[in-house]
Amino acid sequence: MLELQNISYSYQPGKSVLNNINAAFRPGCVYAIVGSSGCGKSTLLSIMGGLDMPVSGSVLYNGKPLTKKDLPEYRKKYVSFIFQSYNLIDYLTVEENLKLVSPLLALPVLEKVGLNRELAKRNVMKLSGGQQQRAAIARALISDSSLLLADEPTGSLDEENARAVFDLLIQYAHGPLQGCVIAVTHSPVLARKADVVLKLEDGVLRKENSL
Amino acid sequence: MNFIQCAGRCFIRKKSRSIFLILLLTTVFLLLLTVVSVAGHAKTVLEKMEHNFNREFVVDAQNAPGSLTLERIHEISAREDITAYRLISNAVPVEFADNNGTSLSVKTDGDNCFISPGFEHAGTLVSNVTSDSDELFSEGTLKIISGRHVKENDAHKILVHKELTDKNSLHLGDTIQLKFPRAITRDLESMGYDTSHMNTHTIQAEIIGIFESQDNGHTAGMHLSHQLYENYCYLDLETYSSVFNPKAPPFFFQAAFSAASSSDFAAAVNAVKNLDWPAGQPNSIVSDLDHYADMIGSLSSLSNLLRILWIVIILVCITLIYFLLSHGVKQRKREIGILMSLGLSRSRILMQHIAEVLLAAATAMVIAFALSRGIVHVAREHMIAAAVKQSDGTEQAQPEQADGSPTSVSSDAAGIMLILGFLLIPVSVIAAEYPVLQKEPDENLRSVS
Repeated sequence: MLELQNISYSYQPGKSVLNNINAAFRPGCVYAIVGSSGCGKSTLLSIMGGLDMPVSGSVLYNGKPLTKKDLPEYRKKYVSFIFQSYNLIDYLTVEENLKLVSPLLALPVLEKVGLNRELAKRNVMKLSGGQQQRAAIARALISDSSLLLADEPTGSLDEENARAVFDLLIQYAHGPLQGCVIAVTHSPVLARKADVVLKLEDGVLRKENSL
Repeated sequence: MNFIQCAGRCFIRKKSRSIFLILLLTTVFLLLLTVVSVAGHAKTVLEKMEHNFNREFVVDAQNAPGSLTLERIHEISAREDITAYRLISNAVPVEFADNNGTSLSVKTDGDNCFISPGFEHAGTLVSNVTSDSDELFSEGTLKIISGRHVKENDAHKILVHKELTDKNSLHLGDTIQLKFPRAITRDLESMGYDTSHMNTHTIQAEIIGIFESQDNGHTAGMHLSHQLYENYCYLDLETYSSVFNPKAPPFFFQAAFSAASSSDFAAAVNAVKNLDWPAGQPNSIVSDLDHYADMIGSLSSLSNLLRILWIVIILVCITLIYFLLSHGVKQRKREIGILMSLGLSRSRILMQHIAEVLLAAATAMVIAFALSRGIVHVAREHMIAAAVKQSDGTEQAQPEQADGSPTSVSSDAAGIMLILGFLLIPVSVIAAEYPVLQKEPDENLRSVS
């Protein structure tokens, strides 16, 4: 589904964050990307999600290289994102944030992540950190995209809610949708539950067999 | 969720931002409406003044009896730049006497009536081409009740008031005498008349008509007895002219001419001044422009200043709004990044932000329009009156007489406000947001709001 060919990226000339990364991601799989803080995991996720362009290399979706012109449609139709800092629109309610990405009913999806009708009508800034994160997850789930990219999706959640979110992500991949989930995480629990664990170190992405 | 719904929610829920934008835009629109409306009103007043006041001049030849002959008047009126002329009736004091030389009784009683010394038997002698040419007859103030009007070729013929005939048992066909004693000639000289050629011998005239006045003949205030309508008489022009200059053909002391336009006016006045006047140069050529030139100049300066001012205001406002919007866009870079990363197109995001600003602009327009009606009225009165006072030195705002237009925001001002609000402001939004929308979402997401 998604392929990275010789992806390189640097914030400043001469200081590479990603060095010639090659990887392939297939549908129906949960991938966990691990690595130390600041190693470039979020940057890699941004490139995979079409939020930024690599300095060199290509991102292929279903075998077709993505150009700058393709990115808006790619982001709209094929990718959904869960951000580390939630990135909810602060003047909208939870329900309205979901309606931004999909006309489908928001409530069933919100209930899956543990948010009820009353919370759905509340402005997002009036929610706790955990509730905001769940709202962000619901926003990603409500779109019917085939690729879900998650940056620390359970960072603000307690153990019980984190487990519930893990199960949702796994069902997203292994269920009827057969989506591809790529999650950046520091959580060993999520990493253990993933089908494939990849480690980003010194700008290189390697398959991690065990944690 | 479409861009209008999003825009509405942002506009309503981000209260402080919306209120600030509305206040700023209201101030801008109010300033614009006021300046453009006052500039428009000043221009309208100016045009009306120039139209009303700048087209007639009066040639005054009291100092040169015999100069302003009928022939000379027709010569001037025949000019291409002269559209009309008006013969102003000659009117001078005169003493009445019967055929035997006995002074006639005239009306001297009545409210607020004052008899000048030496004028105890005096009235006013009026003359025009025909007696009914005089505006008192043409307006209906005086009406002939027996006999006929004095005509063009009459000689030694006179119309008198019924009161004079009743007081002195006079009838149609009777002859009366007209005298110019020293008191009267002194009075004429004081008014600027040249009496050096005057034939002060007694004039005899036959009564051919009797008239009466439709009202009491005078308005409130002090009146000189000889100026009461009851003491008026109308003499034929030839006889009248012979009194002041026996050698000259029939003439007038004053005539008014109307120019076709303001530009023709100056040329016509100069041409009349430069004519050859064998019997003497007229005393003056007076126009309303002499009284209102300074006022028109002040209003013209005000109008020009305001016109420049509103152009400057528009430029400053557009610049201010652009910088304000740019600052707003910087504050919302992260939000733009989020929306782009969720798959919303650049045009969708831009439309939402334009809609938000248009909501603020529309609200500001309504408030500004409501407030401007009173402010425009006050500003207009003060600015135009100040311009008039500066030139005229009087407190009264004379242009009010010429200005019949209602006090309101001009359509030009409303149109400019609508163009600024619904066209230029959205263009400013596009210009402010374009650089941000060109960036990748991640770059905007990394911005700290």
